[in-house]
Amino acid sequence: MALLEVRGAVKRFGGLLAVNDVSLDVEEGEIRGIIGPNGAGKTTLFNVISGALPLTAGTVMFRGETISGRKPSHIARAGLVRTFQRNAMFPKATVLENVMLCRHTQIDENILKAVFGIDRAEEERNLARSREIIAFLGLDGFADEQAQNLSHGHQRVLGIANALATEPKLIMLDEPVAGMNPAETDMVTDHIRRLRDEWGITVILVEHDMRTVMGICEKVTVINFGEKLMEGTPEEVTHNPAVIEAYLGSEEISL
Amino acid sequence: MRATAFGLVFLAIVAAAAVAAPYSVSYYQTEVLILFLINLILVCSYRILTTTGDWSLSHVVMMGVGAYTTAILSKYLELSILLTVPLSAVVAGLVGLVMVTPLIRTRGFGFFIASFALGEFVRLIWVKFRDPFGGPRGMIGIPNGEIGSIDFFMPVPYYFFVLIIAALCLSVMYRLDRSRIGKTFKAVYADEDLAESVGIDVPRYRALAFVTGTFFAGVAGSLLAHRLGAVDPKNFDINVMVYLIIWIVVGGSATFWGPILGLAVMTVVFEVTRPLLEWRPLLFGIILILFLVFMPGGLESLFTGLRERLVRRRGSEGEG
Amino acid sequence: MDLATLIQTIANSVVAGSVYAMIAVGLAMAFGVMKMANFAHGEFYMAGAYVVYVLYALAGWPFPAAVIMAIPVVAAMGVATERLIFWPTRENVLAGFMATAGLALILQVLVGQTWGVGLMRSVPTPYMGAMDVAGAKIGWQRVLVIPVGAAMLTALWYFLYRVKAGKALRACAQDAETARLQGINLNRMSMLAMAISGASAGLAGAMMAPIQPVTPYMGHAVILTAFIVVVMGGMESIAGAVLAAIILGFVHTFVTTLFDAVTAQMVGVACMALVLIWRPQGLLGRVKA
Repeated sequence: MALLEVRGAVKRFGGLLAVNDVSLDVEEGEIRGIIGPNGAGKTTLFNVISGALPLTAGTVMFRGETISGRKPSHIARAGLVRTFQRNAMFPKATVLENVMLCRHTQIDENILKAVFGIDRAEEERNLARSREIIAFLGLDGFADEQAQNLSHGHQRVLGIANALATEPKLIMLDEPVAGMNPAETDMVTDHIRRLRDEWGITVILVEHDMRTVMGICEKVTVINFGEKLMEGTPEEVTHNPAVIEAYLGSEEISL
Repeated sequence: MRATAFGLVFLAIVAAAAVAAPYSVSYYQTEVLILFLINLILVCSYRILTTTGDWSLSHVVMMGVGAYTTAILSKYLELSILLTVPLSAVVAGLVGLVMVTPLIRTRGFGFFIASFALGEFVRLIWVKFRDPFGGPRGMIGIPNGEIGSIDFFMPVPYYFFVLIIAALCLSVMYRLDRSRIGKTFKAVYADEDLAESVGIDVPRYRALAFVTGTFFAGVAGSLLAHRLGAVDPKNFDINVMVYLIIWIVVGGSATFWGPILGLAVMTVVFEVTRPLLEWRPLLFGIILILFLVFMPGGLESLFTGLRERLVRRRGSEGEG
Repeated sequence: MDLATLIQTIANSVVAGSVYAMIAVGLAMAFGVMKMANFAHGEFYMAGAYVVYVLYALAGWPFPAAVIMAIPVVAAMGVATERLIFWPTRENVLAGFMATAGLALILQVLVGQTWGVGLMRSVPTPYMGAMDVAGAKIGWQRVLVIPVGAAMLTALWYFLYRVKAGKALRACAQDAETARLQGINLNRMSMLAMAISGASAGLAGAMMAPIQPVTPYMGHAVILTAFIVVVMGGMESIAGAVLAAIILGFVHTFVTTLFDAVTAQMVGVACMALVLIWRPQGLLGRVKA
């Protein structure tokens, strides 16, 4: 049984089929790339898997449980989390506060505890773990910096830190290196590999930067016009005529 | 550390002033102070809702639910004020829970309007049912309350009773604001999609903020009903709601202290401008517009701006 | 309910629906185009009624002339509101909404202090007599509201779908950013939307002046209904507002006839709550992708 099983996923916006009958298996411990030309439906696929948008048809199973139809917060609790294409963060909070806020899945919260401030041990544990996550991603020098004052590259990494705060089994990254310079890109690629190797987290990433995808993914799924075009190793994919056609068709020749 | 010490000294001064106040002012001014304390609970409870971005227009009506509950419990069932206050809060919280169920499906402008409409629905219930709510004229003859031999008909004892309750409510609301839940409310407002994606059940937290706010509004309503001895549907209509909004807009809502500052300033303005009579709402309307257009952060933004400047200066001194 | 009462009630429902529609389309339009949520919209309606009171009842103008004058007067108020309140607060829908609550207070005081608060101003009925349908008597003054409302809605429809400026307004409502990139001046569109919004509220108030008591607070009574109509119709949808207005016109009138006005108001709110639960985007609202 695969960690994530998508079966016949369909998402329709009015007359537009953004995702058309996509099936997908992602095994535990994989780093999976999802590529495709602009507007191919990659982000929509993310949105329906993470529960941000309801599926028109099909099912999504995660760790053997059906998660389609559930809210994103419930899916995050089950261990599946996503990042955003935009720099999503709590801009006025510091980096450390951002990560602490995102540890909701790990906390059994109630109003009496909040008002009487009991269970400080739990908060201490959270603080320690948040610092660990920040250090893991190399943000420790910015822990007390307001998120809105970070550079673009660091803001994108904070997005990953916030997702990691939920202690996921599977993390879905939406263009994690978008807008980054080569040095930052290499750093993030390295983080992603370590996520899997050291923390055992399965990764799915949507990415435009082909070099990144080819460098770290074992398997790549190609989406075009909302449909799955093919799936294979980076080698197979780059040499597939249909894929080259799809990319040449859209004016994007970064292969 | 220095900030905490300063805070404690400030708190001690406020406490001393609050205890001494009724002995140095007239009966009328004591009544104003009582009303101020009740409004303090109301405005702080309203801020809880606004931290999630839900500027409900039914909050004054929820205060009315507390007031009507108290009216019924103390007039017909002759319950002690020690019971009517908490029970009214619970009833207001429960009504809030019922209202928030459809409300949670709306956001932003839709939420303001739907909350306005549902609030009106509750108010219309009071207008329609003469028994037990007294219809359009409301209810009179609500006992002022007493504890043992202390009769709250006199303003000074009641002032102290309200002072204790207000201190209790405000400290609970302050702790809540500083707690993880309070921070989560603000996170929901700052970025709803991100919050939901990292496991925060956004509708649940919005509902929690709404119900907690209405609970404390119920406390304020109960204290008001005991003081006025009468309630009527007009006490809780949209005009009164606009005044609540004026307090919080003038003060600002980013920090816990903003609404308190706004209420204090506008209470003084309200008392000072009594001679304007019917022209007074015009002045308040102008104040509201001027603040929203020229100082959207409210008066508190003056202080937070000042603090940021101080911090920055201290930071650069440290570096140099 | 006998036949005459039934016909009477249906006629009243159509009249009420027409008035609600006239008021609500302006509200939906301002919100749809530039997210301007006008709490003082009820006071614009009140202003329209006062124009007729002053010009027709006090100054002795002919009734139609007074009604026509209400249109530019209240449209100008709309433009002034847009310039002084909505444009400076355009980043924040809530701020504009609250500021217009302040404007509502200001207008109530100004009108009340100028023409008096206490006694209701009654405007004499210019068109006496009634239409007789199967024993039901429907006053001409009321009947007149229906064609005026229909004419206004037709004119609005023609403007939005056939005139260049109207098409530009619709483009703004669909996507303000794209409209701006196409060279549409948002600043001017925003003023235009508030002018139309004010004009329609003013016309509605003017038509109702001889039918309703004219008071500084008459806006209060209609604003809630107008908001309910807009929420039910789908916030930005003008067609939705018209549909919801007609539905609510029938609901209010029938419940008022069978029970009482307070119950009618309650049922109206309940209708809105049902729509919100069943279709949160409103009857004809679009779901955002």
